[in-house]
Amino acid sequence: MSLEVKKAAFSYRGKVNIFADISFKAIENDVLCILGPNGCGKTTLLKCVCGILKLRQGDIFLDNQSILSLKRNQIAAIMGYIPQEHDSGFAYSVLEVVLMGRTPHLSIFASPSDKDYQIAVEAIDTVGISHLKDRRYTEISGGERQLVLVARTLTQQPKILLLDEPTSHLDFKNQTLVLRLLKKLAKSGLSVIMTSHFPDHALAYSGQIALMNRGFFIAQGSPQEIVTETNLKQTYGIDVKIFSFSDPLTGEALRFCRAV
Amino acid sequence: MMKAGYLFKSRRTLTLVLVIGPVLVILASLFIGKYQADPGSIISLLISKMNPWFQGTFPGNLETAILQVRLPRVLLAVLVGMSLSIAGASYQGLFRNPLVSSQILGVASGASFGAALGIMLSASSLIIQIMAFGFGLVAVGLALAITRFYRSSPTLTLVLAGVVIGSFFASLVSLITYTADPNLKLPAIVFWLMGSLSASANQDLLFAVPPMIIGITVLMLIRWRINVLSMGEEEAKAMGVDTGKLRIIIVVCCTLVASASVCVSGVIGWIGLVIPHFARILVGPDHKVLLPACLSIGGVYLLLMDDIARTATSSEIPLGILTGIIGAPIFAYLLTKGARWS
Repeated sequence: MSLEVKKAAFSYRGKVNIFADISFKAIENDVLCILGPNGCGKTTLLKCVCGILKLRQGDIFLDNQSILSLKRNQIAAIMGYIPQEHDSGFAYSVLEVVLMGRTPHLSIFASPSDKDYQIAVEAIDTVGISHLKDRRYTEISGGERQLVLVARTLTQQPKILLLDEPTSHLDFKNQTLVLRLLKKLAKSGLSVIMTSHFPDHALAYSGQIALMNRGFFIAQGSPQEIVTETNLKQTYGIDVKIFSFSDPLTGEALRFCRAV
Repeated sequence: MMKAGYLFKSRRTLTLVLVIGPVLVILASLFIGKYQADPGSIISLLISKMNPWFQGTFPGNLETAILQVRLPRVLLAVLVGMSLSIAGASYQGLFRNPLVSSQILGVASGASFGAALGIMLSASSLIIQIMAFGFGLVAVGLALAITRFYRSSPTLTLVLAGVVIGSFFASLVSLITYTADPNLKLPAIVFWLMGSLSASANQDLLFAVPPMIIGITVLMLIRWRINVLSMGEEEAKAMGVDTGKLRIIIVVCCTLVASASVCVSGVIGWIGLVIPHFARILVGPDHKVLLPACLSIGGVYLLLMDDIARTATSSEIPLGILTGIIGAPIFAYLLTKGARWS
């Protein structure tokens, strides 16, 4: 399944563009990270990609077919989207929330069958939150909720995962857990696209990075060539220093950055 | 798949109570009323009507009192209770707000205006019912029309539009009650506005039954999707729900059942707001089980209130008054016990 965004632009009611001239492709079996400061248009871009908002210009293609020609449930069977902010009005159990991911595969009058329950339970296992299955969604922590939403999205059985700042409200441990899980899911055959404002996450977990500022991509490519001190300064408007060293255990080259 | 509430040990007991309870209360309600009849003859009357091989002869006034006065009233009470509760629960899911009921989009105010206008014009009872039904639909239609002009956050706009339309029709009702003849028209209007099922023996009311049944059936069919919608507009879209279409289906069904209820029984507030909360305490928030539970509890509750309304005193007590006075303390107590679920 290929996802391609071509020359995309969006504005609310014909006002100033939120973003413009954006083109990229999702990469199979890896994570694409859209990295940029707050308010640069990342969230709006993701909402356009999954069809919640309509582009003003350009188009989005799934296997060379424009998403404009697809129905909502067809899009949702291919792409899962996890928003950044989330509150649930009612105290559903975790299993009930995860089960909602079956929606694109059910007709309007249908309720989930035993098979759907089974898929939901498997997704809960994959994400590693079986112990939360019967807890109230409103009574678990933010990190746990993020994992529940990942499980719900897996229940959609999509080919592409879109995540809007999946780590923004999480503590150090939960950030790591979520990012490792995303990397693992990507390696198991999904295309993952996530947004982040934190360069270290992009450096550590993504196969490809797009730097976004004020509604434009200023660079995209592999972390090595894209995440440079000059590019980060251009993206965030502050001086940044990049450090590299090799991991004494694996020998892998690691890079991280620090504002100076 | 979900744990039962604290009132019942197992889910199966709860289901059994919710299914058998209404049947028992309906049967029991046939035995109480102003017309004094011994239970034995009522039982044999009912059996003879259901069984073609057993034919008894009964005094004509017994048959009239039970089959043409009491039975239709009992069934309409159940149907109205079911309608108001399921509409309330569906709206609470749609608007993601446990404080809304089927009145939120101005149905009751519109219908009240239609009925008050009909009474003032000395129209026949059939015309009054039709005007109540029609203006209920008009009020919601206007609220939906206003919403069309605002693209962003349609759900919030719909609530605001409903409040605006509701107050508009409420003012018109005040205008009519202010100008109505205080001896001939005003008592009828006020009695109607307080809600009552006393006119239920009237054959004219039968036209309100199909809209209620259609609305309830469609809401029951789409009930699982209300879960998804209650997660919010954008998330529901991302999960593949055509939110615009689903929202319209819910609004149309709720409007159908609510206007039909109002034109049968006048304005009975409170049920659509509180029964869903009570049901959530018992079965949890999943609309797949919540809506059937609302049907059961709402039907029984309004039937019990109506039994009191028609038998407690020598004259009829308006239902709208009873539902609040008796129900509020009961549910206030239950809510403090089970707030965790809603």
